[in-house]
Amino acid sequence: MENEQKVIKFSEAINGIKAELRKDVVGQEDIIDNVIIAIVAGGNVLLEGVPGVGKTRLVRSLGKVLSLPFSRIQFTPDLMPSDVTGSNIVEKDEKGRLSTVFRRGPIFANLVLADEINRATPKTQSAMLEVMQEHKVTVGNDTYRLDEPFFVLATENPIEQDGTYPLPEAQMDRFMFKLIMRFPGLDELADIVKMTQITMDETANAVINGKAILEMRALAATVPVMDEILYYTMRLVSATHPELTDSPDCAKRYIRYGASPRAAQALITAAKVRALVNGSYNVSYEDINALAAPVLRHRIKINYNAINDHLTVDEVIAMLVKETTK
Amino acid sequence: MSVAFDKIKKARIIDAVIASVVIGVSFAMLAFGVTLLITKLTDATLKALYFVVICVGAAITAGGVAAIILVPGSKRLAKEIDESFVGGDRLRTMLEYENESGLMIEVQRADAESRLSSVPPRKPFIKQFLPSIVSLALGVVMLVTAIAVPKKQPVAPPPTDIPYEKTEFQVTALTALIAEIQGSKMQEDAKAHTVAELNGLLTALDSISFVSELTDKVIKVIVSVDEKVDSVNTFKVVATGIYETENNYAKRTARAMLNLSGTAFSQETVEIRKKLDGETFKADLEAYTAALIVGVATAGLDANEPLTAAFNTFTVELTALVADIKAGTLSEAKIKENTDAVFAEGGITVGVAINAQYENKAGRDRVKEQLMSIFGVTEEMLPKLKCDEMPVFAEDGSSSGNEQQGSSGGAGDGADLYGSNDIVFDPSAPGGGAYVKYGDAFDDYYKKIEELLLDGDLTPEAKKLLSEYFRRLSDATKAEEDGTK
Repeated sequence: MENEQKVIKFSEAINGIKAELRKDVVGQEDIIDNVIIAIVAGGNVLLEGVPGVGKTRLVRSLGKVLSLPFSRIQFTPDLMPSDVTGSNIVEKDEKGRLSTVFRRGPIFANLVLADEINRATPKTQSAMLEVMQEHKVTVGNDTYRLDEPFFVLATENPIEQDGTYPLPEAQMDRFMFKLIMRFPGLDELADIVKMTQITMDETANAVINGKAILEMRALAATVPVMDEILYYTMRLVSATHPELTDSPDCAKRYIRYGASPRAAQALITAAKVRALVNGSYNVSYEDINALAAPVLRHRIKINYNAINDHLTVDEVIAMLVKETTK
Repeated sequence: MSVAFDKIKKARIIDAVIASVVIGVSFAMLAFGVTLLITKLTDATLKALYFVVICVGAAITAGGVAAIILVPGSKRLAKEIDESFVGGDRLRTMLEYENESGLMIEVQRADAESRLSSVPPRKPFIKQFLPSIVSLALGVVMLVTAIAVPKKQPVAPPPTDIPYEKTEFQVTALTALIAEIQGSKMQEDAKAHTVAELNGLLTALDSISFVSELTDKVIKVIVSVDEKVDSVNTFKVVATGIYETENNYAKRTARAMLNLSGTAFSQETVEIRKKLDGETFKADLEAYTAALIVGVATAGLDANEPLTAAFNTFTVELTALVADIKAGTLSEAKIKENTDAVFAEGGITVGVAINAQYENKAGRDRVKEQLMSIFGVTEEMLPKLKCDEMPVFAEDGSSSGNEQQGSSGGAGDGADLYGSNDIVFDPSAPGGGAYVKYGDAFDDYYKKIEELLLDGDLTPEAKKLLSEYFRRLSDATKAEEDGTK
């Protein structure tokens, strides 16, 4: 009974989060679902989308719903790593004594929006990504841990590529998902306009807090995964490597290099959360297949054959899913 | 293990076992039907044991394979239920974690079990039993077909090999022929052999199946009888021996023998007597006698052989006559008288033996004719028969014209006898009688009397009287021809 109550509570929390987010974000259901999954799973999300589609609004609203401090970092080419992490400054106290005080940077929040991360220099990017990976900041000899849950939603502007520093693929691996925020449909656009005519502020209410997220995360980690599905996931990730003899023909033809083992970890972790979010208590093939694109699209590199055949990375991933045996 | 899942699994296993059994039985019927059909449509035969082995083997194999395919294991059943009813791989996850514990595991288990309650324990009937229904239908169809199909009949023999069935007519006719032969004048040896062959044929009719078989048998009987008669009839051998003596008068005797007519032979003998005349009479007589003796001896037959014995009797008389003439103790008239008598008697004696051999050939001819008629044997079917083969004796160029050609059997020719052209009334002629030439009417009487003379029913005195009578009539004719009448 107690177990069931925990699960029921999880479902209620998820439903509550979705309902509140819909107040501020129109459409983008799959983005919302995957962002929630990533947060609960303890991953970070790379969001790609044209300006104005609601990326900042989503994170702001999420911060409100989860009762978590939110910060936004606008990355520019002149942004320094210390601008992100914080730095030591010298302060004079009341008695006039000088001391070094660590002034925390904007990274010290539970929810961080790293806007246009590809505009920052590689040095700044790596500082950011290191924090994302380790959830701590080291300045000098001191290490400052970030509060959990810690979630970074980074954005890339796909339009203005001049003067940008595309994230190296090795760094892309740090993001659990890469989500594509599409331009809203006509009805969705109308709803957005109507809503923002009333107020531009986020109206979502708090539903849960960080502690609950951590509890949900712990609960999701216990969701059982059948060995068969586990090995299917491993085969799917291995199939992205064209150099392997067992990889399918589409991988050999269209992929330059494949995903790292982090992709397999991300798939399983996220699938467990997704199962719970959808009211199921075990991971299914459907969970893995649904998360294949968000997990793999930024981790594999398609080659010129795919470009020549006018194939997108998502289409190649779909072919891989089809050809991987269950 | 989940109680609900166990219940479903049990029900599915039972259904699968039933379906497997039905499939096994169906394949047994199929195998039986196919095997039966093969034996019916071909010349193959199989013992019942093989049928049993084939059917049992097919049942076990098909049933076993069906069981392997249909009887579900837990994992396969769980997958099937997941895909059809429960979804989300719930049941399979539950089975995999059935021995583990944990918060989420227990929740997942409870959730999966709760969903099992809506799963029907059994598949829909058609879906579960469709393969077995189809195989049962096929088995029944094959079995019924195999039973209904008639057995292939053996190939009919070729048209020439017609089945034979004995008829009452054939039995009656053959039996009558046997009686006829038994009552005939054939020599005993030839008769016994002929009757034995005919009886054998009569018996064999019951066991003969085809007409070709019957024809072969009949031909064999004809040939056997022919060979026997030819072996018994020595006239050809003796005639050849006599002919090869190169004596003209002996050649005439030999040619006369080939007619196989006692009448013709005795007539020819009398004619030969008539030609023995004049200054060369004694020499000719002696030469003729010697030729006959040598010729008969050349034939190499046993002295007791009837024809040989008859010739020996004749030649003994001739030898004695020659001796008497040489002795000079007889007058010319006596020589003439004695010569006439010896030739007349010799002709009759040998003629009787020749007639006996004629009866043998007549019997053979009768058997051949009747068997051909009764059993539909044609002349073309028969091989060359020995009795029909005759030695060819060329006509003697030195012989005078007017040589009589004896007819083969039957009546002699009365045209050269005295008064033969005179008209007499013949009461036995058709239409209650008619005026005929004496020679024509006489021919019939001559034949009748000749039969009496030859069959031996008359006393020797009567035979002598009748012989003398006809001799005198013959002399009278000669005298008329010579103008000394």
